[in-house]
Order: sequence, then structure tokens, then C-alpha cells
Amino acid sequence: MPEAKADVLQGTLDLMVLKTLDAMGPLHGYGIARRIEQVSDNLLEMNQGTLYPALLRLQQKRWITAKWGVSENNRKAKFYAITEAGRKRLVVEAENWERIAAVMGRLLGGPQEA
Amino acid sequence: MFSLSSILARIKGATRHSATAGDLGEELSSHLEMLVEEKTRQGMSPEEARRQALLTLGNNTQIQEAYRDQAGLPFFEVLLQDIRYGLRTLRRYPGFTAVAVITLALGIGANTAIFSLVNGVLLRPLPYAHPEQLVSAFSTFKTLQNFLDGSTSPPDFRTLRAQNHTLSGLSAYYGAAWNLTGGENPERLQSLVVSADYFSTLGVMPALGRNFLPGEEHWGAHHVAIVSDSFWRTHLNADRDLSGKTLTLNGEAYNVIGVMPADFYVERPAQLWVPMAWKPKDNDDTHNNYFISMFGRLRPGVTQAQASADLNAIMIGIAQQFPENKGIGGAVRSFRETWLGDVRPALMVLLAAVGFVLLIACVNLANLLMARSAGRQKEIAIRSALGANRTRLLRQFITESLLLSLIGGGIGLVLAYFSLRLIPSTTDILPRVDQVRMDHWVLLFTLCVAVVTGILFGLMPALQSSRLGGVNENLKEGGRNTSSAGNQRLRAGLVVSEVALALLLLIGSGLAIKSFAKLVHVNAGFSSDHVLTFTTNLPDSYDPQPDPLRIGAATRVAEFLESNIARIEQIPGVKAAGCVSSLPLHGENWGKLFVALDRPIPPSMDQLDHIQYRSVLGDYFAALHIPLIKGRLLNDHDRKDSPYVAVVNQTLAKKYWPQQDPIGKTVLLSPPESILPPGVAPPGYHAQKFTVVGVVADAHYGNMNEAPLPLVYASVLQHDSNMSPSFAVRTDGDPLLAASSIRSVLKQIDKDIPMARVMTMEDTVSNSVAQPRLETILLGLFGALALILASVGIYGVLAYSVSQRTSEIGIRMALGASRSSVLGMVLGQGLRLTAIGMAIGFVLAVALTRLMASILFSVSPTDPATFAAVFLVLAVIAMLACYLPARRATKVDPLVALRYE
Repeated sequence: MPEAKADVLQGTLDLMVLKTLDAMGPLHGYGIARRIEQVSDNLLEMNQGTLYPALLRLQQKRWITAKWGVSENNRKAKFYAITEAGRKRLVVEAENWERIAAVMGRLLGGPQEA
Repeated sequence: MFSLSSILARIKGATRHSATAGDLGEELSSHLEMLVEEKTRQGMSPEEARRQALLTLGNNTQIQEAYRDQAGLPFFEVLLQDIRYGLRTLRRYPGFTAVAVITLALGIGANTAIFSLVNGVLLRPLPYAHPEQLVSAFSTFKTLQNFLDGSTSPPDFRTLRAQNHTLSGLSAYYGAAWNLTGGENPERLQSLVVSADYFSTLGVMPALGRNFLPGEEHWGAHHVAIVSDSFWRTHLNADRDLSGKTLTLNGEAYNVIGVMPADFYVERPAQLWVPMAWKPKDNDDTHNNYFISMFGRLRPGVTQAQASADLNAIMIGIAQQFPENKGIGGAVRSFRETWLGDVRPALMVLLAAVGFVLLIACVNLANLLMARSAGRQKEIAIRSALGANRTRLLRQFITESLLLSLIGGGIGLVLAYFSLRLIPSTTDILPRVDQVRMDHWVLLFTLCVAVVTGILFGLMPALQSSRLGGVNENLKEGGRNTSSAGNQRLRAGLVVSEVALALLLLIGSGLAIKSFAKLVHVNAGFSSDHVLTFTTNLPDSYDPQPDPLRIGAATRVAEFLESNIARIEQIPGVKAAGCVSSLPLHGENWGKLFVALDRPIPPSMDQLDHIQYRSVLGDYFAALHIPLIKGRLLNDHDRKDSPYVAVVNQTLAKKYWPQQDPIGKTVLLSPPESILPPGVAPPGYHAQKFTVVGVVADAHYGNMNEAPLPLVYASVLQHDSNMSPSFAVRTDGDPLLAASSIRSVLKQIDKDIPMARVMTMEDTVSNSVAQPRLETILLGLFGALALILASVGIYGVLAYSVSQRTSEIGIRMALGASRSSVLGMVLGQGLRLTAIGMAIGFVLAVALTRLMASILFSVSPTDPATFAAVFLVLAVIAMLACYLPARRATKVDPLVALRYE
């Protein structure tokens, strides 16, 4: 059973995956993980036990699709692509995230009370 | 949170487990390879790269687990897991499982059976169109509350039907028996004579053929009949072509015009319906004869009060025109209430009682589960150590108790099905009991009861067990199963509530048993052993010209009765035979106006007293052993031309001549001419004067639980008689053996007159108390069940507590406590709980048995003797239940007990 703490992370991960697929086009799981790690300057370490269930969840919600294909190194791999519904979701989620980030920023950056 | 498509995808995932897992395996291995390639590119050796990659990727199984959770429906998978595990646990504790399932099957089964009765009798809608609009309409009598159940007279009915503006339909009916001839043997048919609009007011049409036409209410056009589905199947070969089908009823041909649907039924079971028609100047069709029942349909928006006011106003109008109607009003009441209102309290009491039994069962099971969960502490600890959180454990326990209650409920359903078949489906016991089925409502009820029961008895132990998560102390080898003080208090509370409920139930059943005992010991006023009774039904040809002025029965009727009695008395083994207009326990159904001439005559009709009347002939009193108190009985010398004499019952004698000798008093059984309004009585009317010659004991004509009404007997030859006389025959041996000889006697006299309702007087008596008997048996059963469950509960808790305290008791004994002081300590603990429970139960009983008052006969709902007896029984049983574990405590060997430590 996912704990309450995991829900926030889950939502964040969904957003990162959607954004990555939106920016980069179809990618395999490894590619997604590498891309997110790179962008975060390796601050984030992707846990595959979270990534693959998240990819499945996004498929179940019809925000991404999956298709077997061949990687740049001629290896069989599953490629994920964002759908139209996924893009709409991404816009909503991104706005949401920015709003929260702004609030958090104001809250944490504001004058501290002793 | 879940969208439909993702749920569908998950269901697909749940069913395609292995395929998904294979897919993921492939995906993960390609992920791994890519990782290895990259690490190699960064300059690691291939072995090092693979090692690092595996470390980064993490535990493969865990990923697969997480993935599978997302792919499938974890809730249902966990549920299946819980169920599998639960079933395994139940198998592991077969004793516990058996006890629990049996308790639940009995508890839920009893609830299902009683609910089936409530559902079939009370809840199921009456099988008519918009039954909520139907009302019974009846006459109200200023001087009398219950005169003939408020029947009305044919002319009053017609006026009410024509003049009311609150009812969209008003119909009337009365029960009649018809002799069907033409077959091998004559047959007596139960039928209803109805107004032509009877079926349209009910809103049910014949399934085959047509309804009555309004014109068929007129004399001469009335030879049509509508038959029941079963009659159509048994007597008309279920032939769909009704043309030319006729029935010979009382010697006259009736055309069958319709067949009612198979599921149609009315309050009085009937095989056929014929229209109500009166020949001109028929004495029944006057304002003096109140014998037909009415029901109507309220117009939309009309209340019962408005309809009552409407009918009452019309009745008052009638009384202005016909002075003999003075004092008679009209009213309506819900049809359903009239039909079923009387049984509601009894059924509700039964339902409440059976609900309490189930509650006690729940308490017992909760106790058992708590005792068992103490034994499962280690298992629970292991499960929580392996990562099961509290919710997960709670779910596991609730699943287990739900499994138990659903299995118990399933068996209970079967038990209920068979126990319902033990209840004879005669409407003597309960109205509509023949309509009781285990329909979808009953199944739904059972399911709900089972689920609620499972949660009820499972929740508290589950909450408690799931809290016992302290891994360390529980896993320690030899860790003692000490239950907390809270646990003990909870279990003590359960015992207290169990005892309280048991006391309540036992008092309820005690009261019912006492009431029933009083009822069957009511002095019936006759003796029912060795008496055969039957009823005949004489066709109109026996009295072709009814004459209201005639004294005594028509010649042919009198001859028929006299020769019948004489020939029956000649049959070997017959000691006495007589006839009566209607038998004891068949109802207080013939009222007459009464005047005792030694008192002032009331100035008007509506101030005359009503009494009950029975016409008799032959050795009626001897046949039924109705004792003579004073004077003489009617005999063969009291004939048409001899002085008119009457015999009265004790109630009448006490009411009118409390301090005097009734013998020799003169009475009237019809209104004196002096107060009759002109034109009401036929010319030449003269009230007959009767001399009281005897007083007999009060025989119960109405229900055993009602006081007999004042009653006068007169000879068939000297006063009014009816056309459906009953016979009572006293025999030496088994009265039913005489039936065939009597039937052949009857056949010799008139082959077309059937011998109907042949039964022993003992059966009649037994049927008359069938409903209270059923109530008493059921309440007694529930009380016994409650007693057993409660004593098992007390025993269980004490036995458990003794086993928990073995070492403490051991120490006490090692320190010198005597066996008797240990015995006293344990006994005291049990008896204290019992006493508290009984005190609470007493308060409950005082508050709740009031609701039983209407089903109790001459027993107060707080009858001190019953309360005392029940207290004693429960106390003794509780003492016994406490004694067994207490004695075990005294057998504790201090050495063994301390070695435990």
C-alpha cells in the first residue's frame, strides 16, 4: 500500500515523465531514466521500482502509449510516447506545480519569525 | 480517483498476470543491458559494469512486485489472498470453526425464518392495484363496539355506494357455501357472494373470460360464476374454452364466465365468486340484517378521515328515513390494517426476540474470537514483523469473521427453508401464511444480516488483536499470553450484556408460556373429546317461501334435521347427536336484540341490548357436554305448538338476574311491537315471548381469549334457524371413525347435500389456539437458545480467565490459600458479572415486555411470578456455568503452575 508520502513523489514523477516525453519524443524506459538524471545533474537517482509502475500507471490513464521497437544500439526496447490526452494533462499538471512551487517559494523565502 | 479505462486496464492486468510479468522482464533486461553498455563506455571492465548496473537497478523482485501491484487490482488480489488464508485458518481450528458456524447458522437461520414470515404476511404488498388506496368500510354501532365486525346491510351498502363522493369504488361481499352437484359426490364449495364491481374495485381482472356486468346484480340475471384458478384446474380440466361450462350450485345452473389468475387471493379463501342479487322482498335485503362486508378505494387525495365522515353522513341520512337504523354510523379503516393489523404485534415480538438471540450469538462469538486471538499472538507478531501493517491485519481478521458469518448464513438459509415447511400453511395460524416464500427480499435480508453479524462479532476482537503488535515480547520463546486489563474488562462487559439479553428473552418466553398455559386451561364450557362435527348447507329448495312471520324452521328444514339426528343416534357407537346454527369457536356470529320483560322496556330500538343467539335441535348439549347449571335443557317436547322456551348461558343470567332465579323469566328475542317504527315490521308481526327454563355453562363461541357474550338458545322448531346448520356427534371411540357411517346416513336422506368441514372438536379447539401456540413455541425456543448461549458464554470467559490465572492461583495456593477460598474467588467473579447482567436485563425487561401486552392472555407483562422464576433459572444455570471452571481452579497444582513461570 503506498504511503501518503509517496503520493507527492508519484505525482512529481508522473509530471517529469510526461515532460520528458513531450520534450524528447518517444523514448524507452532507460532513456527516460537517464534523461531525468541528467537534467537533475544527477541529484535525482531514478528508482526503477518506481519508474516502471509509473509508466504503467500513465498507460492505464491513456496519457502515454507503449510500443516495442529497436534502440539506437539495435536492442529490442519498449518505446513510450506521450498522447494528446497526456499533453493536456501535462499543461494542467505543470500549472499546478508552478503554483505550488510559487506558494512554497513565498512561504519559505518570506520573513521568518523567531 | 480511478477512471473507468484504468480500472478496465487493471482488470485486464489482473487476469493476464504472467504475460505482463514476462513483458516487464524483457523490458528490464534491455534496461540492464543499456546500463552495462554505458558503464563500459565510461571505461569500466564488463564485469564491473554489470555489477554496478545490477546495484543501480535494484532488487528485481521488488520491481516486479510494485509493477504487479500497479498492473492488477491489489484490493481484490489481497481479498482473494485473505480469503484463502482465512479458509486455511478456519480449517486449522476445526473446533472453533464448527462452534462458530453452528451458532451463526442457528442465529441467522432463525432470523431468516422469522423475517420470511414478516415479509410474506406483513410486508409483501397486497396483490391488488394500488393497495394503499384500499379501505375497509364498516358500520359503527353506538351501543356496541364489535357487533359482527361492523358488517352492513344490503340496502345500506347500495345507498353508500351510490351516494358517496370520496371513494372511486365501493364493493361488498359475504361468505357462503354452495353445494356443487352433478359429480359423483356432492361437494361443498367455499364461495364469496360479491357485488358486480368487486374485482374492478380490487383492480384485478379474470385471467380468462370476463368480469361480472353491473346488470348481473339483478335477480334472474345472477346465474354466473367466476372460479379460482385451482378450481378451474381440478373441476374444469383447465379448459380455456368456457362456453357452455355450467355448474350446478344448490340445484341451480350457473354459467362459468371467468377464471381468476393463479396468484389471486383474498382474505377469505374462495373457490368461486357469484354476484350478489336479491329476490324481491327477500328478508335478507332489509335494514334489519347486517351481514355483508364492504371495502372501497379512496379517490386520489382523499384521507381516511374524510371518507369516514362522508360514509357516516350518508348513514345518518339513511337513519332519518329508516328509523330502525338509528344509532348506526359508518367509517373506513385501512384494508391492510383490517386484514393484518392483529398479527403485527406478535410478529414484531418474534422478530425482536430472534434479533436478540442473534445479538447474544454475536457476543459469544466475539468472546470466542478474543480468546482465540490471544492464542494467535505469535502468528500476528510474525505477520507484522514481515511487514503487515495494522490495516492489513484488521482486514485479514474481518475477512475471517465475514467468512464465518457468510458460511453460517448460507447454512442458516437452508435451515430456515426447512423450518418454514414445518409451519402448516393454514390461515388459522397466520393470515397470508400460505403466501410466505423465500423471495429475493429474504435472501437480501439474510445477506445483510450475515454481513452485519460478521462485522459485529469480528470488529472488536480484530481491533484488539491488530493492536497486539509488540513483536519482541510476543516472539520471545515462552512469552506468557497475558491479556491486558482492558481485554479482561471488555470480555466481562460482553458477558454482562449477554446475561442481560438472555434474561430479557427468557422473561419474554416465560410470559408467553404462562399466557398460553392459561389460554389452554380456559374452561371452554364444553368437552371436546370424542366429538365429531360437520356442517351442512341446505339449498333454497328446502325453504322455497321464506316468511319472516313464520314460527320455527321451514317444514322441510325441520324434517331434514330431525331425521338426520335420529338416524345418526342409531349408528352404533354414537352416544348423542344434535345440531346448532353454528358451533363453539366458530365465532360470535349471530346477534339478536334482547328484552328482559321484568325490566322496563327501552323507549327506542337503538337502546335495545344485543345478545348472541343459537338455534339448536336434538341432544346438542349432551353431545358437547355443555353442563346444565339450573332448570332443564331443551328437549323433544319443545315443539312448534308448545310453549316457547329458552335456555340462557351463565353470563346472560348473571347480567340480567344477578340476585334472582332466572328460571321462569320472560324474554323477547326481537324488538317489541310497541317501540317499532311504523312500516318496519311486516303486518301481523308480534314479538315472541320465551320463558327461560334453564341455565347452562358458558361455552366459548368466540375466541378462547375473549369472555363469552350473553347468549340465548332456542329450539330450531320454535325460533329462527339458519340454512347451514352444524352437527355435533358424541361417540364412544374415535369420532373420525363414525364419519363414513354418518355420510351414508346423510346420503340416504338427500344425496345432494355434502357433509362439509368434517373434523373433531379437539382439532377445532387446537386450531383456535394455533397462533398463540406457534408464538409460544417460537419464543420458548428462542429463550432456550438464549439460555444455552449465555451459559456457554459465562463458562467460556471464566474458563479462559482461570487458565490465564493458573500461575497466580498456584502462587496463592502455595502461600496457603485454601481450595474453598480459590473456589469462592472464581465463583465470585462469575456471579458478580451475572448479577450485573441480570440487573440490567431486569430494567430492559420492565421497559420492553410492555410491548408484548397485546399478545398476552390474562398475564401482566411484569408478572412477578414469571420474573422470579426466570431469575431463579438463570441464576442456577449461571452458577453451574461458573462452578465448572471454579472447580478446575481448585485442582491447580502449585508446583506445576509455578513451573510454567
